[in-house]
Amino acid sequence: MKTSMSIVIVVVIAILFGGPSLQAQRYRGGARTNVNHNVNVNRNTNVNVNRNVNVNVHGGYYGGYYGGGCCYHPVATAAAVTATAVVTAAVVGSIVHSVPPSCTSVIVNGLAYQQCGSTWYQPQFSGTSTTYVVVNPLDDRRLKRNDPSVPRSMECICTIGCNRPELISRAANLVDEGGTAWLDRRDSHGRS
Amino acid sequence: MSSPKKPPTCSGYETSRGGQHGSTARGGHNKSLLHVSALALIAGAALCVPAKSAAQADSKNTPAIEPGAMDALNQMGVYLRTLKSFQVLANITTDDVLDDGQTIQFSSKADLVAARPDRFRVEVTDDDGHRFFFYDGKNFTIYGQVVNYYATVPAPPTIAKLTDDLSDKYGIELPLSDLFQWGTDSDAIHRIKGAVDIGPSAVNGITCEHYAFHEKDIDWQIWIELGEFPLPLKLAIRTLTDEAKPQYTETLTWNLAPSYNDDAFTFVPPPGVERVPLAELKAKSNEKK
Repeated sequence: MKTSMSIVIVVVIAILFGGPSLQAQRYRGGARTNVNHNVNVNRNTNVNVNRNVNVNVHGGYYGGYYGGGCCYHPVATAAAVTATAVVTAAVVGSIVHSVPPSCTSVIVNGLAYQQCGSTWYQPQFSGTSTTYVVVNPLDDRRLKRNDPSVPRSMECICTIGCNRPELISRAANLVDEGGTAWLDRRDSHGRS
Repeated sequence: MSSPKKPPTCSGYETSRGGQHGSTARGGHNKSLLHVSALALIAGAALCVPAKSAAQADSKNTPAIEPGAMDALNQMGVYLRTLKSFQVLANITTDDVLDDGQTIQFSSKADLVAARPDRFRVEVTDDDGHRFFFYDGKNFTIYGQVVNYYATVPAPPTIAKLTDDLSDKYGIELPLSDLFQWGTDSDAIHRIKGAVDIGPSAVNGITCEHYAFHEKDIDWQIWIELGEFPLPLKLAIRTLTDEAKPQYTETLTWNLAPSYNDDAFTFVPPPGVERVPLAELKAKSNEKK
């Protein structure tokens, strides 16, 4: 019995300490994908941090890259691109490759945002990858919550028209009329 | 040593042309090629100013440029430019390199329909996603079906200009972009430092001629269909700037009479697909981290 217990412990330790080392590595670059356009190589010299390596959960990297396109994109140099950054750091301007699982998709002025608690991300294509830039919370910057008649699911994000329920009732997804934009807080996360 | 066309120049491969003409570089010929090149280099070095002979010393291990290989490349480029529309299915592999130098291979498929000079549609499928590129002569759209986002930007009037724009401005290397660029850029020819005809080789059962080229940053090989349709059927590029030498390959299946309608090149967002920006490269340089 004791022997089998210690084997279990050893295995557990191996999982605990062996696992993270897999993720410690990163891709430092990739193969050039064309002959005629001689730009990749120059960019490559500036890029050391490209993207997370996650051998076990490859799908964590969405949008991916085509033929190494990701790996030359200077977006990667703009900020540390790590999975942990999502949890620990929400510095405005920092860039991550994924957002936490329970975020809400919000459309503002026709563009998609992800609200994850108090942190707001703007998704974007960086090259052919999808990345998420931490932006100033739209609540602090533009949201106005002083009208209790405004349903929480549909809040005015600028100062014009916030006290006009008839506009609110008409607002469905994105409405932008007379400078008024509306948030449509959806449950869906946006990823499929 | 008399040259048939030009007087001898400082370039090693120029002066060695006469000696190599017609050789196939199969097997043992490689060694003799090197010897000829070396002799030519020595001869060239004696004639040339020191700066140029220093440049030659860098390339002393590279094969010479065979005119036949360059001609084949040129003829392929000329032929590609005669195609008004085409469809290409590509099986692609790409190596990425881990920090410790290990190469990791990824596979993808690309389906390209192009109507030159100003429309294309590309569908790319790989482990990470399912992406589309649309270009209708006015706008370029990238659509990621997995994330359900798309980004649209105004586009220049031709595929050739768009390809440059995408790369320089947005960091997007258009899949299979070489197909639009062979023979259009004289700089690309001048970058070639070695060109060898390897010999006949079959790709998917079709007989091709296999050529190998050397440049400063890449070694690349191309398989060009023999006969009246000199199409590239396979391309392999090995990157030399990383010591792991990651390689990219594409194997192409051609359809020279594709059916399509003009709507195929314009992106209409399906319901629920959300728009996001396409980040510009320059904007990123402002950020500091």
